[in-house]
Amino acid sequence: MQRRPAAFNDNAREALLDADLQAALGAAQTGFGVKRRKAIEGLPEFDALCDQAAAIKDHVLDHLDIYLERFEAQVFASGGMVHWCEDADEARQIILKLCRSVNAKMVTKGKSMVAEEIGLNPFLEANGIRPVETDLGEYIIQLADEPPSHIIGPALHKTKDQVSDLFHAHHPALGFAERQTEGEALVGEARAILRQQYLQADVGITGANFLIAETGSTVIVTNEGNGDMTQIFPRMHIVIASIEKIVPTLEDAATLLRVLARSATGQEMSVYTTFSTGPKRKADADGPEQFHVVLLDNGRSELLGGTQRDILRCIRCGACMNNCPVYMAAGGHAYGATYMGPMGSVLTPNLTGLERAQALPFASTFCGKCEAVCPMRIPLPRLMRDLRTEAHATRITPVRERLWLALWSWVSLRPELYHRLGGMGLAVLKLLARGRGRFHWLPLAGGWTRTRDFPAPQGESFMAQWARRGKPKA
Amino acid sequence: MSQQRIAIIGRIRASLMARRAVSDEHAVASRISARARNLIPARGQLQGDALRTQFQNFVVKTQASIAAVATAQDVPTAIGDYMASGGIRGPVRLSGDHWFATMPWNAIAHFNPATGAVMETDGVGVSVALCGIAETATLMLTSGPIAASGLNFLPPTHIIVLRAADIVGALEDGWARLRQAGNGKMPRTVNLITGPSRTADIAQTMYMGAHGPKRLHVIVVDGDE
Repeated sequence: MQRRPAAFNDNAREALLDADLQAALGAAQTGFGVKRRKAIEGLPEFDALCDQAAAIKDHVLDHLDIYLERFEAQVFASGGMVHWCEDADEARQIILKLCRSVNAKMVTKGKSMVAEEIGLNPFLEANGIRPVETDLGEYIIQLADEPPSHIIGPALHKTKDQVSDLFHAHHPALGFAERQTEGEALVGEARAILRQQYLQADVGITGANFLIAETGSTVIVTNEGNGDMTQIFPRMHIVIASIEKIVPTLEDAATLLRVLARSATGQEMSVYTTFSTGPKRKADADGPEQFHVVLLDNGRSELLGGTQRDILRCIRCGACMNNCPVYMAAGGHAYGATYMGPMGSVLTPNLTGLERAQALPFASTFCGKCEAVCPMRIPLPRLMRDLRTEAHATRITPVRERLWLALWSWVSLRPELYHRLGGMGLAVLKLLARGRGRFHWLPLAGGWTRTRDFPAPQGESFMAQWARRGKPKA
Repeated sequence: MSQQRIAIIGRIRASLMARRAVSDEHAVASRISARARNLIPARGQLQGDALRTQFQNFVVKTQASIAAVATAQDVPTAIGDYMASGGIRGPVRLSGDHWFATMPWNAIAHFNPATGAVMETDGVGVSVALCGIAETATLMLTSGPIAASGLNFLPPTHIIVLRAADIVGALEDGWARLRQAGNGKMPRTVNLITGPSRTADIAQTMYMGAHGPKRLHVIVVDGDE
């Protein structure tokens, strides 16, 4: 699997032949849909809440500069620091500087997609600091040296047997000689190993689901409690978050939380939702001595002014990918980027440049399910369609594709010719089929006939029949 | 002011201008000071018996367990009973909450209840919730001089003691309690806890006790001011 978005088509082909991946995706597909539906049935106000949630983020985006300044002032007032970073490199450098300021050898990490976006782990490792992922899914893929394949279930692509193999390959050195095959035992083994890390880490790094402007708080949402232990025990807590995560007040956060977990895992509330405000107070029983928020732009301030701005409302619930037939067939790695599925197909080209990710907006059947399940009312198909239009207009789509499209559009703008050619085509195909009803092979249609038959036309086109029979009598 | 901050804020303003929108200091200030509540679902607006019943039912739905006692004096025995019935081992680590100082812990002396820093060897952590939110059976806990946030996560069993009068309807009611308790100041950590720790990261199957507590038990104290 190639880690670049341009390789989506090749990656997807490879993914479809990967039996383990298909088994893992099959298990995920049924679960997510049912759980989300049940959670929403239990909350009649869900749709109205989604409207309000989307309006909150639109309001924030309209005043983002002021909200960020407010947030910064509040973090400062509670004894923390805010670091503004224009791109991934600046964010990596400041995090390294902070880690070095406390002579950190090892850092624990809560799950953060922004940390993935800036490639934090390999960078820290290259600089002699060992990052330890603590979310079980992230831990699994860190052992496998793979990127996350889903924004809320990073190891969604792994089967239980694969996890068992991975643990058995890495854990004997840590005193766990026996190979575990039961889920319960695997979870227990990871729990025992990571427990030591929380207590020994010099720095804890987490992401943030929300940044509260009113209070200067950062918010994480987890089910495992790993993010919490990551930020309680070390001396320094670093939060890495992108600028669009701002929410005005605690009341607004309540509205967003009501739609987040239900859309993500089908829970009414995730197990741990934690608000962190500044470092520990002088007399506090525990908590970090330093609190730093690293704010990342990385293209978002420009995205804010364009026609793709709606994607900045995204709260990373993952509902769009859970309900996407393309994602569920190809898996997250096929997208070759940090963010996958429909939200990734929109965000990635906007962050990295369309020319490097033009295949992604085409990775959709436009069935519309992603938009229907998005709690933030993001018109994902429209955004992908606009990207397709742009890709075509700027001539970065494949030449062959553009030629065929040009030919088709030329013909379809001439109805007389179009019908005549269509009729001829039907007649020829019918003749070639010789009554068999289907083709196993057709010239120029190898991509179709390689894996399935092509149905042979059975007679006239609809238009021809309409013309022959005349209008139905009223 | 950092160069990066100036550049980012500048680009945001340029983007807003391109959309003919101008960010408005007053709009932001008034929204933040108003702290207006958005839509609160009907399930978050219950009162009286219905509130209490829903809280209890939802606690069980989150895979936690719940018990009620008449007074604070009954709390140690209730903890002892819960531990005995589940075969749960001590020692019991109590938060420094002043409420606990009034309780007869010698009733469960065999579980070695003690305050102080949480240890890896502690079997049970006992904390007091600022409030319980009936909308989702969420417990709100805050950190401070007498409450270590680590106590809520490190021991394999977590027991949360809650006054019945501190059961509220919606998360917004919880925020009101929080602001009142801190005189408008946020504590370092606010933990909203809804059930025991779990993970579905191995083949989408749910396992309890991923990193945090494997068991969560809530004790509601009825007769306390």
